[in-house]
Amino acid sequence: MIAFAWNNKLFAVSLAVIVLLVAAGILAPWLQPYDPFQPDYGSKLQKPSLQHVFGTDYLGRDIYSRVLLGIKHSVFPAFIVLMLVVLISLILGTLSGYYGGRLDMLLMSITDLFVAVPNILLTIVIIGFLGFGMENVYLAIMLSWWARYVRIIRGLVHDVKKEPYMLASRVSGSFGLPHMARHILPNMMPQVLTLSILDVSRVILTLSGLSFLGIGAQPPSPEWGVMLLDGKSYLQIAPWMGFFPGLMVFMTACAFQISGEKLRSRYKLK
Amino acid sequence: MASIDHRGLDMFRYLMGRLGMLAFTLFLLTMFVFTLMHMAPGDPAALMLQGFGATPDENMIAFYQNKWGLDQSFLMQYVSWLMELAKGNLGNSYLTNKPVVEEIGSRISMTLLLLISSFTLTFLISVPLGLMAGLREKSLIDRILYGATVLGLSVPLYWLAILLMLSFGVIWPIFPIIGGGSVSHYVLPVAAISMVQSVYFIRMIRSFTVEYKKTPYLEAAISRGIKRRMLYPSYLFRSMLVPVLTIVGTSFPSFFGATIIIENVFSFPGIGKYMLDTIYNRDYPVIQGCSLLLAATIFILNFVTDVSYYMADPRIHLEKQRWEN
Repeated sequence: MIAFAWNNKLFAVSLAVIVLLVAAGILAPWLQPYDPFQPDYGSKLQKPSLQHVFGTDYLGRDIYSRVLLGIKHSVFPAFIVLMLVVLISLILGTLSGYYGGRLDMLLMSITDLFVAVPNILLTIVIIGFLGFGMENVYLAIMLSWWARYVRIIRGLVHDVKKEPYMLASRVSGSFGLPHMARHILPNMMPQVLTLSILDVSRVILTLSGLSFLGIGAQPPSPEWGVMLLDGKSYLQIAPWMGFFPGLMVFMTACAFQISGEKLRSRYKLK
Repeated sequence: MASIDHRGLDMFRYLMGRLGMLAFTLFLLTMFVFTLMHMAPGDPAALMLQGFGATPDENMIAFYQNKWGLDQSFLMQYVSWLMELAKGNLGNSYLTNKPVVEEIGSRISMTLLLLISSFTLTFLISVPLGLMAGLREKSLIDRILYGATVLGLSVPLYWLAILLMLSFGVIWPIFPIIGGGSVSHYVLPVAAISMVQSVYFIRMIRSFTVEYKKTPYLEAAISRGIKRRMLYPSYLFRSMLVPVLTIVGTSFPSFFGATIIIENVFSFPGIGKYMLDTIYNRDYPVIQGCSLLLAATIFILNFVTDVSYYMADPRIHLEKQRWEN
């Protein structure tokens, strides 16, 4: 990994951006120059300046401080959601690919259903029926993502099963759960990890997109999508209100996209 | 090698199997939507009566629960709901008390027009660019396009839309930024959707071009001395038609997802905005109707794509399965 980063400058840069972002997200309470929630009516809708690098919003809150705290609300949930999705799909996909048969067929027709529906539509349906709230948003995102992963992991299991060492391990009497855990799982990990790094950008885009539509995080939150939605109403007088949060989403997604694609071409994945 | 008779039988078998799968998927869909509707908070009878403008008391709610069959078991309710569905009755909106079908019908044409025009523009942008990148692999233009697609995959659609609004609606006001109706209302939404969607198309078409460039029959044609001007249209493009048509057929969900976002950014009065508005009003029959209709459309489109794909070339079915595995 280090040698790869040394030889590939673009990968190194995007990795550095990710590390910096995570660090800034953790250290936000100490880095922010202003309180991200405290309105200051004396200095509302100010242009970016030395006092307020990204300007202030309609309540006079410092946008830089809010964007910084926003990392915790926009990026970190994406990690958690994806980790859960990968965990669930690893279990289901491995079982389905390993045993095949009826279970496999049932799972595949269910995943068919979920793969075909656009994420946004599924999320709207879930939020629409079950009500607002971040836990429903996470549920909806997991529901719209797991199927794709189950299918990919099932495919990977099929690939791994064809390898000669699988035959060797079978011949030496390994089967069932220990067999999967020791021989199949480790051999798909690079692919699964690469895929999830690529998908971090998509989950971040979706999460902030939902907040932007008003069905994700709700207003006092410094989530980037929420800030963008606020900014939309002040487009004509304070365009910086929406510009910087959007730029952050773009930059973050870009960093994950580039590092994911570089890793993918390194591991020669499709 | 199968004989012709065999092929007909195979095709029939395939069609039946695929049709069965479609039926099963649609059944799962109705189950899913109905269960969600059942889990929704609030009593449907009370909500419906409020839709009529009444302030119902307990007796009244109990009376209407009985009248509308809402006190029956889950399964019975599901069956009677399916019967109504088969007749094309999606229920009435809690808010306006008009049939959901009517409400959807009055908005669907705007969304369809938006979808079709952004789709056409996407196609017009990405086919030449994808071909160019694929034919001149690793050239400067290929690398520039690759960089552009990385940016395109990471740009938030709603942010791009807002930047377009800012540039062409505020700073240089040549297009309206909210509402729908006239032709000029379509320009910015269509531009935003196409810019983001063409990224996928360019990448796909590029990789198909690279792949098909290496096929033996193309090399044979080159070695026979066929001129380049003839070569690409009659050899390369023709063989790429089927895979390209498939991505066209399966791209509807992602286009629709983009449309929902864009309609809400531009306050464009189509289905996507309507669906989101109904969430705020907790108008469950409408959410149910819209999601059912849209998901069913997607499944049927997928079915048609798969079947026509198979009809065009039965080998591909096997290949595609392998690819998915």
